[in-house]
Amino acid sequence: MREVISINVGQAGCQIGNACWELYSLEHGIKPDGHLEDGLSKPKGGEEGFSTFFHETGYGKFVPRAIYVDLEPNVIDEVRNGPYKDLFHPEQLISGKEDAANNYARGHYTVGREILGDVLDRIRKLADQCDGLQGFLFTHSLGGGTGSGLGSLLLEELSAEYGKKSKLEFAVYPAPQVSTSVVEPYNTVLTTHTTLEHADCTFMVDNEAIYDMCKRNLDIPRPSFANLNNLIAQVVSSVTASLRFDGSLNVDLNEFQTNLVPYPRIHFPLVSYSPVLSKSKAFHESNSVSEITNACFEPGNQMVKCDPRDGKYMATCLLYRGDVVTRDVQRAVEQVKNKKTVQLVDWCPTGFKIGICYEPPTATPNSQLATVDRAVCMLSNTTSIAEAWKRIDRKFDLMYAKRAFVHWYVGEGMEEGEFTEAREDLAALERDYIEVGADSYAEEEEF
Amino acid sequence: MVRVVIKSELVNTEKQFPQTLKLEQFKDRLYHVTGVEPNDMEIVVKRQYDNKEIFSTKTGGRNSDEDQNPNFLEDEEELIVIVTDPNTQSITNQLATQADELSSTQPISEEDYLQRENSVLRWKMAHGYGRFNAAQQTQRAAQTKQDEAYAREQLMAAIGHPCSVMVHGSISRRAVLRYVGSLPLGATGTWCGVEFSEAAGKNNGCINGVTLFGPVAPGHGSFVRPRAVKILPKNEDSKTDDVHCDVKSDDEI
Repeated sequence: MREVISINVGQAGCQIGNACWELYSLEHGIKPDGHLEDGLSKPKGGEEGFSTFFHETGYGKFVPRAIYVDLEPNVIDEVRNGPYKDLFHPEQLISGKEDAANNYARGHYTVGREILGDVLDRIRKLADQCDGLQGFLFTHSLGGGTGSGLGSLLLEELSAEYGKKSKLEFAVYPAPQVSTSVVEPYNTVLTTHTTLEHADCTFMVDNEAIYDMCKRNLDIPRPSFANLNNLIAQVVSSVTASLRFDGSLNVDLNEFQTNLVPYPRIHFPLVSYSPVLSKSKAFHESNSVSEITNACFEPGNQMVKCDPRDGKYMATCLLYRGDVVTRDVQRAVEQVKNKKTVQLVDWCPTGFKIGICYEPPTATPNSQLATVDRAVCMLSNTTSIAEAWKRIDRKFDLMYAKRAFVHWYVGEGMEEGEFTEAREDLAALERDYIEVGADSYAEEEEF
Repeated sequence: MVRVVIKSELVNTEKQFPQTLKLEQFKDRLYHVTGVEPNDMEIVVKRQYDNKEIFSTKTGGRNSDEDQNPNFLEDEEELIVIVTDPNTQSITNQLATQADELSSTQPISEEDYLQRENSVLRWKMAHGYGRFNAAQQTQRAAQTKQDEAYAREQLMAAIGHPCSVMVHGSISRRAVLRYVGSLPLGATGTWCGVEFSEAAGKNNGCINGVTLFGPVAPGHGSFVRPRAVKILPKNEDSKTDDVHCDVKSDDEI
């Protein structure tokens, strides 16, 4: 028994959570009411893996090991009234009355604190149902008030209460061009500073990268948040597939950290996914193992906009799903290793790890994504993701130089010192990434 | 609930609001999303399905028709709100115009970074990684010394002789040694300039505009470390046209 509890915080976190649980249910043959699909005697994908994410009640009903938290009721009310309302125990859905107004301080200190005790109680109940709790999987945005503020508060509290249990995050990183709120840079820097020592591994997803993928690959002219979340869910599902189905690599949460994180602060692997194909295109592509593997190295398939060709790789995991044979994978990886653009950090051991899960990916009925026989998700710890931090730090500086909107935070009892402390920590993080890329002694041998 | 797409100079997002919001409350919510001061804010509200404008504030300041329009969100489901800020001095407009400027970031100083307990630098120091790997550093220094001795004692006298060039990662190439000395760029130490009989190299004998030998035909010259060069007896000179290489063009500088 290696149970994992999912915690979805804030608007983005809850909406991505919805898309994920819809997909998980489909993949395991669970109907929206929590019962098995007709004709199934047990959930799809092996008992062991399945029970990490679902809890079975005495009545043959399966309940997600998940909790939804938001400071305002709207988004969670949609779950309460939506098609999956019977999947969850009402106690798993926690909402407040007053929102965080995009303000980290409200999520972390004032409004968030009021709901904290309640949330921790519910998490304790879920934890009590587990025989061997492995850890937690967070889904939240870095830019929103609840996601950043309450999300980081919960991570801190879980560290205190559950000690060394693994904590992984899927975090929506602010898009480079369009913001979801004007104070996104503040919230992102503040929450990253707070969670840096509490999260073991953070997978970032930037809405703009997803938006472009929806437009370019799925032919959706004006992608909605629902389209974006569907695609994000597909990626989250690929990352968690090894935990949910019987597989070979990353079958435990802490293996992600072991395989990907050489040093605790450098825990933001870049996620790439392939193939992202619309239903109309799917029949015209062969999607061989080598093709989908190579596609992961194209910036267009990355969840965060940055250029890995400028960076160095510390570790890489390739997680295959579906109809894949080891021989093809080995050949594809050999090709990748010989790419000139894939530069490894050479002063510390780096590695390519391969995971194969024989369950193919599933597409939800309302998604534009084609059903394919195989897919791959690449997690790579590359120094190029520091570009994302640089970008957000620069936006923070622009605003903080004018003390723009700082009074919103001070008004909630925060001190300016927390801003400067957080910003310095992020500057150190940027510096850390430079230090990782430095000292590569494969010096030029020919000019 | 009404689902609202909010667009402003800095923001593009989607939120849900209660239909009972009064204009003033609605503006306050928008303020916390867009940063546009309610007193400056101008909004245009459109219905999403037919893009029809249903509401607009033409003037800044408190809207006089607020009382006549208490529940302007009523009966609506999906709206687009375009928020503009006519106040050119406002903070959001300042931020919008500066978004592309290179700001003076406040990077952490080397001293402050060195002081931090929990850093990649401290980790590398503690474990002897990279430049903190003493044994590797010593080995490198020894190699450089060896390179220089070899260049001084044997290669200097062999300029004009045929040689074989063996660089890690590519196969042996025949060439003629043309130059031994330093290079006018960041790379330190002693280098050898070689000329190939075909375009198997990276340049024409010039680096950063300085001609060190030749100039020879483009792509016929390269600079390599002394350890990569082996002098061949003169009578094998005839074989120098036997050139192999797998150097790719994207490596050229």
